[in-house]
Amino acid sequence: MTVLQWIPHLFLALPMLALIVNNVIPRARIRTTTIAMSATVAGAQMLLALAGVFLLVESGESAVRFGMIWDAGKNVGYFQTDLVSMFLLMCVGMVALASALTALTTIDDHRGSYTNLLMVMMLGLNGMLLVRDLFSLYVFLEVTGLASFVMIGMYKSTRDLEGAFKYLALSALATIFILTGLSFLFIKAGSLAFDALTPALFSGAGDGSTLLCWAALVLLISGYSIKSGVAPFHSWLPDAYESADTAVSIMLSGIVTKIAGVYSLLTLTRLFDGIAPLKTVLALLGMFTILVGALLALAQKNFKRIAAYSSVSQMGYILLGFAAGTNLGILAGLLYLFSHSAAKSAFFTNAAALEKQLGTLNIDEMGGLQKRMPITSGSSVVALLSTAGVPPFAGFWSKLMVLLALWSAGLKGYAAFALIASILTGAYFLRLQKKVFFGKPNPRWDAVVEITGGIRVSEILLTIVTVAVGLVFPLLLLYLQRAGLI
Amino acid sequence: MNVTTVMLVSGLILILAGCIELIRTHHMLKIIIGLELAIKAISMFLTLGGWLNGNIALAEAFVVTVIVLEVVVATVLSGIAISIYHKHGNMDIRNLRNLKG
Amino acid sequence: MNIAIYVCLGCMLVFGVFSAASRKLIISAVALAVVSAALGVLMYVLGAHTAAIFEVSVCSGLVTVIFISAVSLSNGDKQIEAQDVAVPARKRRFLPAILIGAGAILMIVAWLTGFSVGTPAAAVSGANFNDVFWETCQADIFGQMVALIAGASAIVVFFKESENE
Repeated sequence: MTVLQWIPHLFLALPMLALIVNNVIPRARIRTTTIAMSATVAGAQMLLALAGVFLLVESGESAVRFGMIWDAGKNVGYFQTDLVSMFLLMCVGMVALASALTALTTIDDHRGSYTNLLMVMMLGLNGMLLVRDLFSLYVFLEVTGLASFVMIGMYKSTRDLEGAFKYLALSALATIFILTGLSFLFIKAGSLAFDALTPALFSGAGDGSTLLCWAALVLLISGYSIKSGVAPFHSWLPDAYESADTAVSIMLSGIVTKIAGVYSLLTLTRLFDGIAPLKTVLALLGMFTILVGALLALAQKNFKRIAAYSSVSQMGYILLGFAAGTNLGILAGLLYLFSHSAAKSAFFTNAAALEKQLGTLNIDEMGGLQKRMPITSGSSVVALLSTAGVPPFAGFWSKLMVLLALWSAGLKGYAAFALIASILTGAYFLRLQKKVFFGKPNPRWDAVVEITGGIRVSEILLTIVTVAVGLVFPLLLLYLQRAGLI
Repeated sequence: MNVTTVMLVSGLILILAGCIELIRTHHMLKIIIGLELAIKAISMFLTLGGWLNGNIALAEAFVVTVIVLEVVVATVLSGIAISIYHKHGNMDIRNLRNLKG
Repeated sequence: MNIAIYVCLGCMLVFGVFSAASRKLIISAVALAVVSAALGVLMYVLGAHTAAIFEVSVCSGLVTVIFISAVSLSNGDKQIEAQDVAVPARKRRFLPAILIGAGAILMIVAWLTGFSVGTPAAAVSGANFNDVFWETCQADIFGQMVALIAGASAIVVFFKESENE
């Protein structure tokens, strides 16, 4: 087997191995190193997936198929990874690494269980990216939802459980919608494998089953939209992010809403390629989301709630990229996903640093922290500029690509709207920066020092990633063009 | 009036009942009842799909997987409800907001 | 066979609505168990024997036991009565009324438009639950394993004493 063929096995095997090691070794011995072990697994996944992307492009194949428990006998393979999945696996690794590094400092209770749940969540996310069947996608989606719900409820930074329960109720509703949609598709199509679901399902005989397929599409879009926190289904998101521990918020905002929601919507668009109403609905949802998220973020006072509404808003850009429908659109959406993961994880890491050193997250009480916490302030400024789309950071390039994709696909109005909405993004972030880091120093914080340890490493790492990807982006585009992907 | 149409309509009624209960209830354990009721209807739809397409075995595989997942979800939800009950003394969701200590 | 299907559907509907609308938790749980049993019989009639066994033994048995133990471990039944005192009896009849209304509307629309999803096809020969499940659904098997591990970790996390206390 070549290197390319055994790399994908590791994405499912490494977290499983970490789970076994974590539970077999006695609790007393593993207590100090368990979160470091999960950080190692996450880092390894990030590097392996990066290598996998380049190997896959070089090899010229479109996908790698493999089996996990036993090898494929009569079938060609049970799991598969293509370029999109490899890229997203790298994002999963990156965000999980940031979360584990933050957890080294912020979590000191039930550390073994944190590793368990993080590994389970990684297995769920990796599984979602590796399957060939819409039903298996649902299975791993459910696993991810379960793990994320437990992490929200378990590691609470406030005593407020209301966020966890709102998330639970809406998540159960999403499950019901998705499963009903899947069963309607199954009634018409007879199988839920990716190979069997084609746009031809939506035309054809005029009997009731075609109507069921349209209803299924509506239900699936609603269910996945709830999972991704797209407006108007976003009401669970700010409460859940605020009440969870920051390490958990990093995972949720950085990758779970993206893979569980937006990647599933991307799968739908790739499967049902010619259905025009699908793209229009996604574009409208994207626009609505950008607007709602940005407007609501302007009014918030809590650092984490601003970050949460900002996540809602940025999800709309990713949706717009996917809704363009072309290869360029999908690429733009994926790159925006990556740059937003990096920037938002950095932002939440800053929130963790502020919470640890200051004890409060109310931005009205902060002020002039730039001198006291230079690293946190610097990484926050980089994250802000990247999200708002200022060169030369990664966010600028990905936003440019989304606009180009929309323009070339003929959706010019949406492109203009997205450009104007960036001003709103800049507005709420500038307000935040001014109140927290710049401005008059609040004498209450005179004794505050910069954060050290895992949080500092994570901040620096994510800032380097954002800056580096922004600087080498043109080379990346040339490479992709040489490989024939643009 | 085909028998399949009747099945579809009754399944939709059950799903509606489950969803309404899920959203409107204030008791933690009744969320599980609402979810389970909707999943029953969905299992019926999956079996119906298999019956119509002649592929009962695949439908059975789906139903078995859904059952396993929903048992896990129901168990975890019950566990959470009991643990919250032990800490706070009742199971009303409305009491969960802004609890201090 | 159609008679059997209609009887099962009727049972499911009646006990399902009863379960959703009932105030007492134990009655809801038992009604849910009856719905599961009726669904199991329906599945058997349609030809899905293995799924029927699973449905009856797991949903009708295991989930009901879990639920009733959760209720008894927490004395939750008393809570529901206490808080529903404030809800007038008028409001409680809303749910069945809405459901019956919706059902009637859907039936009339389906009858008027002649809605139909096609006729049942003959069974694909050689398709057996064992073959299909173990040969083609390995991803689902792996997913179920991970789900069970997730459930176990979740229960441990919620019931373990805090290490710092």
